Amino acid sequence: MANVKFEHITKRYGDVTVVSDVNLDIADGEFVCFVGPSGCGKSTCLRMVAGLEEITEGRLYIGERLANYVPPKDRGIAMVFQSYALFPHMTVNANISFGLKIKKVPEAERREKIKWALDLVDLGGLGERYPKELSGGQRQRVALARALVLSPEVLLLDEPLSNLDAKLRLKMRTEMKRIHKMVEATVIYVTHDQVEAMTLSDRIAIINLGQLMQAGPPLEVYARPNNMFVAGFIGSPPINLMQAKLEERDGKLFVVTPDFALSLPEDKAAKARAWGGGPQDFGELSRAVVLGARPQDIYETAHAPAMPWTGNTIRAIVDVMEPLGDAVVATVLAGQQVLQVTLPPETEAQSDRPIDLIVDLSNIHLFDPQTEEAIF
Amino acid sequence: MSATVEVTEGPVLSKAEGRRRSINWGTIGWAVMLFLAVFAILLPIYIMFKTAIADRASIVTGGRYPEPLWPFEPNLDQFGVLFGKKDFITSGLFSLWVALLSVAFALLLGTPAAFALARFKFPGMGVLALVIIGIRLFPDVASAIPVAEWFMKPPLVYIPALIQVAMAHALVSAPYVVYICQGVFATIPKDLEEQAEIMGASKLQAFINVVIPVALPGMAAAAIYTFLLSWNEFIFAYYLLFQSTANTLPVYMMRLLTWTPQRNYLAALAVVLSLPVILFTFLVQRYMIAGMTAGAVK
Repeated sequence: MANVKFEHITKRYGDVTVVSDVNLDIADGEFVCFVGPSGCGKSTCLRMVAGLEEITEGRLYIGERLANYVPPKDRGIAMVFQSYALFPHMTVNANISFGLKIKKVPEAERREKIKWALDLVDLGGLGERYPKELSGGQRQRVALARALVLSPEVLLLDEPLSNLDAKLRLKMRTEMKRIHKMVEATVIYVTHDQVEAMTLSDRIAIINLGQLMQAGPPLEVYARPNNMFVAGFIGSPPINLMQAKLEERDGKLFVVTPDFALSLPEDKAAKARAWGGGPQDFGELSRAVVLGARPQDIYETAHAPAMPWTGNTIRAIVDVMEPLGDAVVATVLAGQQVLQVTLPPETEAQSDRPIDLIVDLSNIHLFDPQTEEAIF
Repeated sequence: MSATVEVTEGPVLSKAEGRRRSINWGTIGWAVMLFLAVFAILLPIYIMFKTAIADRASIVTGGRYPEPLWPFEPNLDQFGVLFGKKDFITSGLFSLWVALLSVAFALLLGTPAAFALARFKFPGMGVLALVIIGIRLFPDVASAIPVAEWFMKPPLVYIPALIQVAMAHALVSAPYVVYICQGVFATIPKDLEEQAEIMGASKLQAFINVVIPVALPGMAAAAIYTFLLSWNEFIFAYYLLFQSTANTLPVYMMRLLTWTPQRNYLAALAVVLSLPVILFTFLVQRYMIAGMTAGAVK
């Protein structure tokens, strides 16, 4: 068991900075997902924890120990590569016992541990097979068993599910969670799939362009994104982001787009006024913002729950409907704004017909268009 | 009714097409050229086999009748004579030992270099790889002289002849080993080594326990290539064994030629010399090609 601490971690290749000043404290036994687009530096972060990449600047602690210069084998870690990296010339048993053999674990104990690991990943009886005789899902499990058998303090997983087909991926996702509950190791899990990250982790670390954008529990980063990137990356379908302005009308603060206006509830209006240093009057001087509203927070008026506000309706025309079974994702046009809205399956909306929408104002977000930081 | 008509028309059409294809003169021309090439390549091998199993009357005709295409009384007598000769056996064993040792030397010398070329990036690497393989463009006769001279002086002169020849042969084949193995190593994902290291292996343990076994088929191609190269090699062995009583088989054969023995005896020796080559070529050609292309693609 060990915590992992990133202190101002930076990685450069020559002049190119791939990871920049990452600070993160991962608690003992925590399941943390590094998520971000391809090439954002999340895998590099993982490889630095593994000791496969040198750390250019900053300190990395595993447990209470400074680990910058500790070789991989002494870090108390185990890793599952995206490619699984199974040794093709060894049977499943030999693959799993490789690390134990090197650590000179006696044979009887080794056999016991192999059995435990194979049972854990539900692969009992396949020990004598070679990797090429296994399906993709089975290989993935072998890789996992091989990592777990070393009883690592920190388990590193680099996109472990990305080579599986969609159905198997869902199954293994559940499996991962179950296994984590059983082994209680600290897990760092790299993925580009935000749904995977949301469902698996205790905490998500969203990384973009080598920088840690936000780290927090899944529901927190979903409900309170720090910035536009996080808001856009987390959530499916993605949040609707629109250029807008803040305007004061009759003592109330409105978010105004060319096609509709939403009146801000008091608490949000206060935050908007406080933005940029102190109470402001937007009467004369309107200020540009970016409005964010999740598809799940925009309702069809006919099916909306009761809301305590007025001035939160949008009239639009339905463009495309995509039924998912439990919901319908509708792409609608509000003037020039293209919005995605999640509607209930019993919706009467039809393509090319008008639709009345109502926005849950308690969940909308405003961002500073310059810094892309969240105002609320 | 109409359906039946359509059915019968189909095959008629395709038959006409088949006929047109069968009188394609271009294809016939290519086939003839292919046949000529195969004929020219196989002719010496045919003569060698035929002569090796020939009885005396089939090769000593005195001009009274043409030499038959197949011996009158094929027999293996000359092989018996050959294997009854002590100097042939000693030369054969000498050749075998030289070849095996040269494989060991060439692999020991070549694989680490190949691994370095495949795994690490350093300036001038491309040039280095080119030089290593380009060395082989020098004529063997030209490089045999400096090598022989080197081996004739102390300290190398004190090395036994067997090892001298094996070392020289390893020198010739090492570039090929580097070239082939580099290609093989390049196809082995780095993940495998990193995984081994994370699991507690040192870099050397990862190399020996993971990289080498995975590379084995490709390395086998390099090893066989080295073996055959040594088995066939004449120039270096000839110079290095000039003052020695030991012979490799090609050198032994050359020395036999100086007293012009019976042709079927010589041909039998030629067959024995060729057998490992033919055997290996058929047995492991798949690996050889795999090894070669692995090297070539990189």
